[in-house]
Parts: sequence; C-alpha cells; structure tokens
Amino acid sequence: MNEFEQLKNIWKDQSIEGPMASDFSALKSGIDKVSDKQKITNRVLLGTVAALVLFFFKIGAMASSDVVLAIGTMIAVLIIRVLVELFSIHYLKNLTSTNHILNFKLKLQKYYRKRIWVHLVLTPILLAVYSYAFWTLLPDFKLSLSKGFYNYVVYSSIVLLVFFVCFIGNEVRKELKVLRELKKDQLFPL
Amino acid sequence: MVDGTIKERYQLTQIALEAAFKTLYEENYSKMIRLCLGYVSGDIDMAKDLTQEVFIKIWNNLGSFRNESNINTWMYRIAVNTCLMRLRKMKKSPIKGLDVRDIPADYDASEEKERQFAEMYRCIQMLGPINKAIILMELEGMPQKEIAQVIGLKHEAIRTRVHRIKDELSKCVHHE
Repeated sequence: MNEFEQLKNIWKDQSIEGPMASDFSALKSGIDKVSDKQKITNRVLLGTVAALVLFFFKIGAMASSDVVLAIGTMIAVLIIRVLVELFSIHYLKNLTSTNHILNFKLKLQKYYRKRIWVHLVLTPILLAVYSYAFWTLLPDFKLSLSKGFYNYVVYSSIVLLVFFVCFIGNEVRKELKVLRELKKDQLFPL
Repeated sequence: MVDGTIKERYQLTQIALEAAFKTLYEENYSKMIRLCLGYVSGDIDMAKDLTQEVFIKIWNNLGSFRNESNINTWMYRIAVNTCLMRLRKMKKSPIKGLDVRDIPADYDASEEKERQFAEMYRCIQMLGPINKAIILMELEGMPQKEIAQVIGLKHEAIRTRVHRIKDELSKCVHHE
C-alpha cells in the first residue's frame, strides 16, 4: 500500500457520527426557517409597497400635482433600489447550485461587476433623483411646517445623505476588493 | 375533481421528493461532512453547520435536478461551491481547527489517530481552495472523471494535478 492509500484509509477512518434522526429534524427545521424567512421578507416588502402606494394616493387626493410627482418619484426610487437588492440576493443565493467551480467563479465575477455598476452608476443616479425630488418638496414643507421642524427636516436629510454616500463608498470599496481578488485569482486560485 | 387530482399528484411528488432527499442525506452525510471538515481544519461544529447549509441547498435544488449529470457530481458541486463561499467569509474570522500542539506528548492509540488527522488537516489547509477540493474528493475515492466534472477542468489536467497534490500531501504529512 502506498503512502497516499494509507492517508486515504486514515481519512475514511475518522470517527464521525452518522446522521441521527435529530440531525435530520434539525435540517428540516433549518429548511423551514429559510423558507419562513423568505415568506416574511416578501410579506414585509409587499406590505411596505402597499403602504407607500396607499400613501401616494392619499397625498394625490390632497396635494398639488408637483408634490404628487415628487413623492411618486421618491417612492419609485425606493422601490427600484429595494428590488435591485432583492434580485442581487436571489442571484447570489442561487449561484451555489449546479455550476462547476470554474463556471461558478466566472458567475461570481459577473455578479460583482454588476454590483459595482449598481453602486457606482445606478445608486448615485437614484440618490440624485431622490434628492432632487426631495428638494422640490422643500418650499411646500416651509409653508406647512413650523420653522423648527422645517430646519430639522433639512438638516437631518443632509446628515442622512452624507451617511448614505459614506455607506455606499464603503460597500463599493469592499466589493471592489473581492472583484480584484477574483480577477487576480487570489480568491479561488487554480 | 381535476383540481383534486393535481393536488394529490403534487402531494405524491412532494412525498417522493422528501423520501429521495432523506435517502440522499443518510447515504451522503458522512462524505459531505468530511469534505466540509477539510475546509474548516477539522472544526466539527463549523463542519456540521456547513453540512447543514449544503443539504439545505441540495433540497432547494433537488426539484430541478435532471439526470443529465451524476447525482454525486451534482452534490459535490453544491458542497464545494458552498465551502468556497464560506471560505470567503471566513477570511475575516479565522477558524480554530484541530491542532497537533493540542495533543499531549504521552498520547495513546486514539490520540495517535487524532494526531494523524490533525496533521492531515494542517497539510490540506496549506493547499489552495481548488486543490483542496480536488484532494478531498480524491480522498473520498471519487473517480477522477467525476472530479473533473465538479471542477470544470479536463480529465487529463485533473490526473496530473492529483498526482502532484498526492505527493505534496504525503510529504507534508510525513514531514519529508
């Protein structure tokens, strides 16, 4: 018997407990948990979209067409961004399926390239459109809100904008790093 | 009536799928956990967790499995890809696996075995992620043609590579 055959026998001789009934039950509950989590996410998102649409119609009945357009744009931007994120998560989850490893690596590269595009192109455009729509609402806010609350709305939105720009910058940096590693073959070197 | 039949058929398919999954789980659990152990340096808790993730993915994809490829190859693809994805996340938090230094100097037969496993894990850990997958499947006695289908390389390329890794691993384990 050669050295490797000995290693092979040692390897298979590991004292690993076979699967027990309790392990299978834990697995089944794990599967149910994943599916429940997905259902909850879908319900929360559907609920949020429904609430936003209802809010939009309620505002539409009371406000001017400019306000309706601005709020509608902001809602649409939010929905687009959430949908893009959901598709991304779904794509990544299904990536680990039946692909052979080299194909898996290529698809992972494709995924990260798309993510960079989302972060560097789509998100800034959406953020700009959202900010512009919000800015067009400010004169109406000034008329209808107290001075203190109006200032609060303006300053908190600036803080939020800065926060989002930093957050996006950080995400881009992290995903660019993974993409670079994938390109340089450092992540799954052949 | 028609609805009832469709529902019954669906339930029967679901029952058959669950039965097939349970058989797959029982027959392949040990192989899958050994593969995962190789990726997490023998950390059994982490390997169990990873194996569960692998079987959840197997279940999620079982309905779409076509007999175009071997079920064994198909499962190993899912397992290796899952381990690679986890490995990517683990870069940030290093794992605590079996360590030769944890085993006392006056060890008995079972401790000797532990020492051998720890040595093997240490040496496997030194390989790159793809070579790790290749050698872990080779250690399981998987045919090289199937290993080639899991990795996506030609059979000849796998044969050459297996030969090289076998030598590296044997030398490393025996401190040559």
